[in-house]
Amino acid sequence: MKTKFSGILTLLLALVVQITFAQEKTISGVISDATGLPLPGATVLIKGTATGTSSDFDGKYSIKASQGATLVISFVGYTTKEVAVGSSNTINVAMEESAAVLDEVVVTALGLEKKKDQDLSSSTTINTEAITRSKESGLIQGLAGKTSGLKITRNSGDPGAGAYIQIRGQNSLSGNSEPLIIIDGVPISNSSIGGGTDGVTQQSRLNDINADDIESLTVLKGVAAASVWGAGAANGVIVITTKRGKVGAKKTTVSIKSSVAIDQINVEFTKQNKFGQGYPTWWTGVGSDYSSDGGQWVANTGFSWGDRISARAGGPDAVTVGDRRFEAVSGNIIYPITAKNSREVFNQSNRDQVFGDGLTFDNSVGISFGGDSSSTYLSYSDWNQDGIIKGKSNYRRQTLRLNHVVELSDQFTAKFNTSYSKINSDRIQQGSNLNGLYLGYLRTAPDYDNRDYKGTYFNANNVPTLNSQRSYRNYMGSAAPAYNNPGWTINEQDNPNTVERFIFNPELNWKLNDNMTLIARYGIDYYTDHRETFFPVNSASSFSTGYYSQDDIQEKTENVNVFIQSQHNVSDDFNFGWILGTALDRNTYARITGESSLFTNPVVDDLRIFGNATAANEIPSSFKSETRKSGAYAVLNAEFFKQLYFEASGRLERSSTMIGNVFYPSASLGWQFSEMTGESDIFSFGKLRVSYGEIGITPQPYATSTLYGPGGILASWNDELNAANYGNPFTRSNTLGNPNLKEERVSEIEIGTDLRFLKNRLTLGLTYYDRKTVDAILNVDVPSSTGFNGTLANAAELTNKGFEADLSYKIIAGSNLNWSLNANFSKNDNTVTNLSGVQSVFLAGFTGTSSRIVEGEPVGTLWGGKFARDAAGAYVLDANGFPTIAAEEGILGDPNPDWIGGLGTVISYKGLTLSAQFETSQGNDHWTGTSGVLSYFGIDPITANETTATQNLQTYDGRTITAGTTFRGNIGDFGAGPVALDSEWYTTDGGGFGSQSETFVKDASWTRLREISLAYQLPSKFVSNLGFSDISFTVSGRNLALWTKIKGFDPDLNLTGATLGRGLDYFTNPSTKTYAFTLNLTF
Amino acid sequence: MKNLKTNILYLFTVLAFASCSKYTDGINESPNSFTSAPENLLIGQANLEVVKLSSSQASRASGVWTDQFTGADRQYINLDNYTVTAGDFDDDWDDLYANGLAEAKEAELLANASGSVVLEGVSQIVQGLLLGEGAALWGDIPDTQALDYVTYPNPTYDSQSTVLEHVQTLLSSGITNVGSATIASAYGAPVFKANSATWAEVAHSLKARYYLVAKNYPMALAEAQLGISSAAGDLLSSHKNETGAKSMYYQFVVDERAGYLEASGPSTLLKLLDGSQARLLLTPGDSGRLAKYFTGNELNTSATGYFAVDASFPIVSYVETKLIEAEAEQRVNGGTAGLAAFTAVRNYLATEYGGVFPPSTSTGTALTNEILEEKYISLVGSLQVFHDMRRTNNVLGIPVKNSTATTVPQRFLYPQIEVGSNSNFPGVVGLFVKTPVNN
Repeated sequence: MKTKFSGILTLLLALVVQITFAQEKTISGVISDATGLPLPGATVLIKGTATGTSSDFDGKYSIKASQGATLVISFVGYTTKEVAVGSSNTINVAMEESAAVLDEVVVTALGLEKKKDQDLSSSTTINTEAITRSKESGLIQGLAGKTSGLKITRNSGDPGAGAYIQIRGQNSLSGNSEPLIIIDGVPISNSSIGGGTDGVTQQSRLNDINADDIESLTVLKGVAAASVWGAGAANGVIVITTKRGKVGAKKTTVSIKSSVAIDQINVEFTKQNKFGQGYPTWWTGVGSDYSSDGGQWVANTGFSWGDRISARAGGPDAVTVGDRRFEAVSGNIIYPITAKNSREVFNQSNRDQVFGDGLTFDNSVGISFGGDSSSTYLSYSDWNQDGIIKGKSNYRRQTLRLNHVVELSDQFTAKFNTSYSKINSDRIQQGSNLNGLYLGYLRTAPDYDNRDYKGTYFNANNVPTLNSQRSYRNYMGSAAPAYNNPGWTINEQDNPNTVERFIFNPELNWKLNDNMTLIARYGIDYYTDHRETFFPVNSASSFSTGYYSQDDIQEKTENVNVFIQSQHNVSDDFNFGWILGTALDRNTYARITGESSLFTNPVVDDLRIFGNATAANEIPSSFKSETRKSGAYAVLNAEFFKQLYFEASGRLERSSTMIGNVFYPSASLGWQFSEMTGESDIFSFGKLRVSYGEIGITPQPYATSTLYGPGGILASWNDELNAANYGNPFTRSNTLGNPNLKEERVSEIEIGTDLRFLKNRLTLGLTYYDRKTVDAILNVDVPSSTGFNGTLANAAELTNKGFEADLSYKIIAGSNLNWSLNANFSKNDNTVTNLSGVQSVFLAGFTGTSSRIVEGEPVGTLWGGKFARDAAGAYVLDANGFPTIAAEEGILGDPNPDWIGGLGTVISYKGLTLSAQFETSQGNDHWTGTSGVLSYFGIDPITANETTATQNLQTYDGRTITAGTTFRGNIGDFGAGPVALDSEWYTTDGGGFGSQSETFVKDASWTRLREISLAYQLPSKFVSNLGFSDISFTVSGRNLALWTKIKGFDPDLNLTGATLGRGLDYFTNPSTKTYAFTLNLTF
Repeated sequence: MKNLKTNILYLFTVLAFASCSKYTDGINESPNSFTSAPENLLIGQANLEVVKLSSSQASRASGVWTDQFTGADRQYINLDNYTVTAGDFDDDWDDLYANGLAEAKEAELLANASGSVVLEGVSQIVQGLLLGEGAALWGDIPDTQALDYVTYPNPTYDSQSTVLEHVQTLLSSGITNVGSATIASAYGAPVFKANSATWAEVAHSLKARYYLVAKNYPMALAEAQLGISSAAGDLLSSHKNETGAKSMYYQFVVDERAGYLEASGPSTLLKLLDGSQARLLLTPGDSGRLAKYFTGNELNTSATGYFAVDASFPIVSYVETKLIEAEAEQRVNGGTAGLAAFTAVRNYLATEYGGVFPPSTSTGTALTNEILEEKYISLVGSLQVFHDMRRTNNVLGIPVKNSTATTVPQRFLYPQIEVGSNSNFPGVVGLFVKTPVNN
């Protein structure tokens, strides 16, 4: 839908004046740009008269004129054209862009195009080429770093992993903090269901869209720009328009893209290779050798605090050859070890067991066809990715799109956008999960070989156990080990999912008269997400007897939106337009889950069924919800003296999740002051804009009453009593219902300027915003002693204040050589200003370390156990000189960046184009939970340091390491002189399982070369001889360089996925870098 | 222009339709949950909390701090050396009130309204147990203003002794109401084992237990004598080898956190059982019980073990009742008083485990301590051992496991969730500060 409803129309329309000429006839035609795209709102004037009209949404016009008259066609940004009326009744006009003016357009919330120069918001349009060039599997990830105010964080580096989108700051404390996604005028779902501290990485539903289908993508950051959508748009709006052919183009264009990419892990943890599995002898009360050689090899322990590997006897381990053995699938036989002689270290082979090169094939074809009165765009894409994790880690997305526009008559145009996506993916268990990849892999002792992970265990009586697993926690494979062998995790466990999704949205445009159009849209977005989880018998932990679950999710988002758009051009100095509309929204969600455990037949091979367990071990559950919303909205805009712009809008809305109507107003004012100051060689364009808007977030469904249902107890270590096994007793929800819940209200003042210099070559946009959420809904902790532990209440207030800058500069603009630069900067200060006296609210994480909401702090603040400090800030030490733990938990850091920025450049010379995109995030803290835990286990290289005591040193547990002793560990000083940080320190409060986590919250600022590419477009002469219109090759790299102080992982990921809880790393599957080669063909 | 007017009229028709409240109203009732529950279902949830409190984290922490067990791995190493924070106690406190007491109280009110006298009594007894343990573990806790959000969104704390008095009142009312109802037939099973236990005997044993906690020995004696009269009358949790029904010790030790909880070190309990630490009362041949509790350094989770997957865990038992009787009688009357009850326990143990359990020949304090030692060994994993250690000023000399601490832990810390949300929270109290009754 193209229009220019607030465009500059410089004459009175011929609504009233009807002058009749003798040979008058009706001239009609299409006004388009040089590429054939229709130009709506262009002015058609009969020279020398006041008679005129303007083109409609599809660029069509009709006017009565006599032969010999001259039509003057004008449109902002294009050179005015004059065409003489001849004998033909059809005059099609192709307009040429005037060189001096940028043609940047933005798309409004309703999907209508608008010149950026006349826009009163901070909305920015992202170059779609920049998105597809990024070689990201997901559209969302492709947006990273491309514009100010937009922050993208990956869930993990797994194939198909979703990502978190945040525009400006967090506006809400309950539930979804992500923007509303509008595709071709109707909202679609961007759910990311799941995302805890364990399980698999979840996808984001926006990534189901094929990025190659996108014509334009606009990010609406401000409230005023989004307010016609009402509740749901409070976190900003991303407006996407998909491609469709060009009416009247009368040709078929076929674009083919074929790409192959190699992914590699981009950051890895380092593991020590000096000391073996085991622990010091004095741990078991034997002796008092506290030196680095005081360790012993101990089978099956989690620790690598053992003996010095190089000090072993060498040669193969001494074993007891007998019936008790493990026969691996490879044929290797493992016998019980009686003496650990081997000096072999397996860090590299254990790593290579798990990680390799990922391979992606991305093929797509797009066909567009323009007929006389219709146009069609048809595309197919196939993204087929194998991840860097060997085994069952992959993602395949196939999409099909058919967009069709047909002009039924002069008055009616119908549009149909249809897409189908199918996703098949296998995911790998991660996180705080004894069956997770990184947990088992990273904790594995350096002297343990993970390769023979599966086989048959024979006990001393030669009785076999099939499909046994061996890992460093049970090297004989005699029973399920405490942690999985990573080989088991990636090859034996299975976590497939299949998503099928239809989006269908028909639209009817009815031209009521020359300046008034009715647009009616319907959109339906329906998907099913089928997920399975399978743990074979002999998986670690509670899944040792087998576990299978099947999870079926359906979500349907429907929207009806009808509005009338009108434009009135009163005089040269005053124009106005209005929109009146109404919309109905409905979302239905249903999820049904079945779980089966304790398999009766332990050997299931590829069978994934229910019924292989007794009734008590097969548990179904379900959830469904429906929400609806109705709204009516109006927009009024006006233009004065070609330089003052005004826009006001209001939306009245009613939501099913709360009682009563709500109203959201907004208003904007802009002054194009360059009209007054005039242009010069240095200063080209200037506009000031200010806007105010209000928008809301409605409560979640069913929060108004206190609920009851089957009870049961789940204790903090996951030991549980399931109600179904105990007569299904009922419990009252711990959350007290609140019938008085109302909407959260977000208000924002935005002030900005758009400037251009140096004959439009340098563009600068600056925006300051001050946003406030009142009545934010919060699951307020209430004292458990009331019988409830929480209630949803409109209890919080938060603010986001920030500054955004976008700059682009065409440094060289020649016919052969072009060089441009673009940069963006965003700074957002988020503060929870009022939490109604609640100290903190848990968002995500663990008992000891979590991401929380804390009054006076930003959303997501990292929180956990700390060292006790006195009034002067010094540690409160114990008798041994070590710090003690504070009785209360407290603030550890802020995962939100102080500022983020992007810097991109494109240099092209003839057919060669080099582009690069840098991205940075500064001042964000991250909890490095993995590192902390690796210290505990004696895996982190810091724990393999050997230090000679220069004086007698106290240990954490009060032993003395005498001067001159070389011990395993480091010397620390907490204020009472040097102390020994040895195994006792790292396995208690100095390690990741200690009662404090402040040591592990670190500055995770990063800067990266997000992407770099070199493209070569074959000379057109050569290409056309081959029958093509374009052939190009691109070599690109993604994430090739990363600068950060964080060790072991890429801080641009988050354990708990796209949730409000941020800045957590705990055995999160790693990130990747990519090398890609792409071929584009167009004919 | 006429056309235009028609269109605008059409639009307003649509607007009117859209703002019609019929579209949005009346669909906000949850299709997933009920908005009330019958009292006989609610009491089952409170019973589950009784099992959880008795045999999950609180029990394991007590066991570690009384050195029956050893915290041997990761977070349990911190538990072993007493480095715990307020947040570690959130779950126990929250479940106690929100998933136990709240349901029991609501069941009591509904039963009262419907005239279901026995259920009312059971609800009172369950509340008595939960509240009694809460007071014993944390000291001063919310009671009179608890469980009434509308009137008291920030409940004040009652003194430990007041709460313990209320516990006695609840249990007395419960006893009156339950009559001769059994656990098996009246709101106990299937959470509790369907044996011949009666609610009245259980309640008397509980009264004895909380009088003991309050150091009211004469009343403890009187109630113990009315309490559980044989092992067949024990209040036991019920477990099966099915997901969600396994014994909570088994789930922790085998399924969830292998290696965390052991008797390595070895623990005092292991040493007393295997003879490496001298017993106050010589007990040759306690090997049967040792084998039942432990396999080497590990908890015995085999089919015949104390912590087997389907092993019941005693909530309150005949052995506990008789040992309360023995200790209380000894403290009240001195001399050899209490010996009969003590000997009854020893005889019972001999039949249960085999081996030789000779009766005591001591008197006075020595006898008291022997009784306490037997209780320490017999009530493995029981919170009562933790209560006894603190009540008796650690007369058994259970080792202090932290090199810089001077005493064993004296309480559970108030939880972080209460610190952060209750404006009437009285203030943080350290781990080594005795609860008022133990001062």
